[in-house]
Amino acid sequence: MNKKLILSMILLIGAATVFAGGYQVRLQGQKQTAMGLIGTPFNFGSSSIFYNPGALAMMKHDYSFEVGANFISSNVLYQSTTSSYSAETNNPISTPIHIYGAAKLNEKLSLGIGFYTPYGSTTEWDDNWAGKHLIQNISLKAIYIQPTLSYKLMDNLSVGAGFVMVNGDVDMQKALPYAEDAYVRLKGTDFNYGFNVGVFYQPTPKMNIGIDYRSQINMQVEQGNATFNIPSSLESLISKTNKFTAELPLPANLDFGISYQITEKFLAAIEVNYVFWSVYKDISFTFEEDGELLDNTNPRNYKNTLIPRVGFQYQLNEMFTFAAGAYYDQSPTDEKNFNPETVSLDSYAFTAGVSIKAYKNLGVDINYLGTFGQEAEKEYESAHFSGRYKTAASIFGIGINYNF
Amino acid sequence: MKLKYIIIALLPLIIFSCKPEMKDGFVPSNGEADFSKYVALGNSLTAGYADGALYHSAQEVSYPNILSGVLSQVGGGEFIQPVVTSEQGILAGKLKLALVNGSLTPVPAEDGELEPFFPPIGYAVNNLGVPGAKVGHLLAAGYGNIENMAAGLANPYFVRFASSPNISVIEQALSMSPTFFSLWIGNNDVLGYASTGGVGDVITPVSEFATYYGALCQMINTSGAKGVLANIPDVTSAAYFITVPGDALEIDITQATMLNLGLSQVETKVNEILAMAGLGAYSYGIHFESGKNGFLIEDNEFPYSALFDAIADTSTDAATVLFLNQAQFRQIDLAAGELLTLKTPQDSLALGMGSFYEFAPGVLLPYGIPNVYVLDQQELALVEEATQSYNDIIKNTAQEYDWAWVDINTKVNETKDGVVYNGIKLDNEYVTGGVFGLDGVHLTPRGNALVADFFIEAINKKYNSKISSVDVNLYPGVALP
Repeated sequence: MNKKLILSMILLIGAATVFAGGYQVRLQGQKQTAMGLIGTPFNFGSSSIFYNPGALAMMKHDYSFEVGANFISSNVLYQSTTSSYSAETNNPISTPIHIYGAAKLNEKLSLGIGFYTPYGSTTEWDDNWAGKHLIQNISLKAIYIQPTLSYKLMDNLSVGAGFVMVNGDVDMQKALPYAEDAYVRLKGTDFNYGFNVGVFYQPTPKMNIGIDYRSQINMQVEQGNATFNIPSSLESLISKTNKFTAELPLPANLDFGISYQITEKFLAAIEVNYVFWSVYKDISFTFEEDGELLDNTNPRNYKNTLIPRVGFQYQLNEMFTFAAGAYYDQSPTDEKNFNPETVSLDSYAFTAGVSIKAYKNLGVDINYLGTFGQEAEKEYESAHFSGRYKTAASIFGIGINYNF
Repeated sequence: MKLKYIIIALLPLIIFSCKPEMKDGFVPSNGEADFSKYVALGNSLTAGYADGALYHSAQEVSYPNILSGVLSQVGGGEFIQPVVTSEQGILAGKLKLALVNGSLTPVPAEDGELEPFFPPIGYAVNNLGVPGAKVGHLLAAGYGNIENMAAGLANPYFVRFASSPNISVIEQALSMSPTFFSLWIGNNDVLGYASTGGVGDVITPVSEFATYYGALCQMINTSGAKGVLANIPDVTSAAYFITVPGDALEIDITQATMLNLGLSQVETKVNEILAMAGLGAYSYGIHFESGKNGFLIEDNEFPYSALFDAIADTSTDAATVLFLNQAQFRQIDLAAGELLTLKTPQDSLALGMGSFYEFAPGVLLPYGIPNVYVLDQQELALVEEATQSYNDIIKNTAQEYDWAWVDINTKVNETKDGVVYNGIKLDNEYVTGGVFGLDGVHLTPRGNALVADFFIEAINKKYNSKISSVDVNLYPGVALP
């Protein structure tokens, strides 16, 4: 029994994508979230650092601080098309948070820094589910830090740019066919850079236009830790611990939004986000040892997506402002390359929220977001794995802002 | 006033839950078949035999037992097997994998005591698979009678569960009043021959097969049961025949020179003998080269076989007799698809079987791999012809009675090339392929699940039923230490 024979047993070992379209809910500010996650054509304070650095210079106050957290409960249901078998993820509640601070240095120039965790998703399937050889569980934590400068070119036009530093962490596990409890666990981290630039323009006092571009960031895991839980007889053939290299592109986003103050109390906005997912062609894993057995490339063939959004805000009185919104999140996944590690379906989402001016300059925002993935039959062709999927996510968020 | 808004603001907390629900799911249904009483007929494959024995955990994952598990969703009743409680089995022979000198090797398993096959278990069973049974055996009265064992007319596995000594397997099956049956038989009618290189058994003549198969199915049809017939795989797609490569005689240039020298010495000696008999020179037509070479095998068609045997009979010199015997060899014909069986002793190959061995210092003698380990061209043709004919009969019978038909032959040929199932690759390779167990002929639990899936597919197609498929990957392949 030599290595070549073992080769035939290992297939499709790899495959971690963590940035699903469905999870790219951009919960980086509670007021924006409540309005269907529209952010480019507003300045609600320092959260513009994420949504549109160009708008930061238009801050009404000299100082703005925002902090918020979201509680995401999301689950995926899988059902075989040829049997009564079904499986559901048992995802823990994930809690992305964000903290922003910004200050006006002078009439024209504003400076800010944002700390946010846009991708905190975890997908946990049962260890013995039907797709266990594709994925058992995967978790991603990404921390973004973005120092930002924004400059007012004219009274109604401002621009801004932020330098984005990302610390990404991935941890995934999938079953191997050598024994009932055989698996490989892959853990890796990377620190990388990108940028975020935006323009904010007010053609009329009632209308705002915002454009924002966030660059692609490639997460490059080098010297990631691979641990193989395999029968002892195979230990002479496959190292129990190994190092791996993998690269995952986090695509660029181009956002364009318009808001209009219909009445003094009623604000409406629309936005489109174009996500450059097509850079995600495949994911390859290269191992330091036993590469001839373990190295693999897995097709993804994502396609670019366009997300339309609509949102409204109604100021009831000095204290209470209500908001609502909706959007349609298109799945970037390819029909034939749908891997259950990232179950991203075309989804409708609805948002609602309330902002309360609690005390002087202190505001509290509470919001809710529900997404409803459209039931669909999908296939991961190269692994001959197919089935019907459905997803749902509920997100409850709370934030505090302080502006003076 | 304020309180009201705060309550509204907190409403999302109350609806903070998330349960996706599927609208269109798979709904199992029995279609036009009645699965309430399912009876399985067949041989060792049906019985759940694996790794050279019929033992407890292998029997639990016999394909009929897996099938009955999902049939229970569509009105299937209780499915009773003649339960073997021993992990070691009923008769000796169980293999397991062990690490021998750093290499995974099948060795005799030691998993406790063997279980006696007599007295009979005394309860009615739905799985009537009898290891070793050929098609005719299912009709044979007394096949389960212990008194017939000495004469070779009974089978210990049927002795175990025969409801009375002289009942036939098919009579006992029909006495269960099955509403649904499966019949997968015929493998042994050709396998006993093929697995021993044509030495250990004979192929059941096609006319005999037709008679027996026809009689069996007529009896089943008369009972009114619906069911499924499975054809037999081309035995040469099994791990048993594809594991030991025929060209594994891997040598360097020095060894090749030495073997060619040995070969020419043998030819010289052979030609001396032929010259004495007034015959012309003979050439083996073999030339060894560095790299891979085909093994030498015993030559059943050696042209001077009669002459050499006659001389050997009169000779008193042991060395001469040995030479005359050993000289009857040829090189395996890989182009014609000739195969070596899994039983080919690896240790003997290492000592020169398949090439030359050092008989005495400086004296090389050829050592063809014995016939019993070689499936040669003629044998292959006979096996293929019989398999084809049996399978035609099976298909025609299924059509005649309008029963479901499983094309195992095509399926096993597909797995030979490798199939990907829910993310893992399965093929017919020994140990690593996941389908064939350690005896190279019988299936792993995963292989049985795959077969159960083939049956389900065929049944669903014929009877418009919706029986759940089986998740093959949840069943293990060969257990690695």
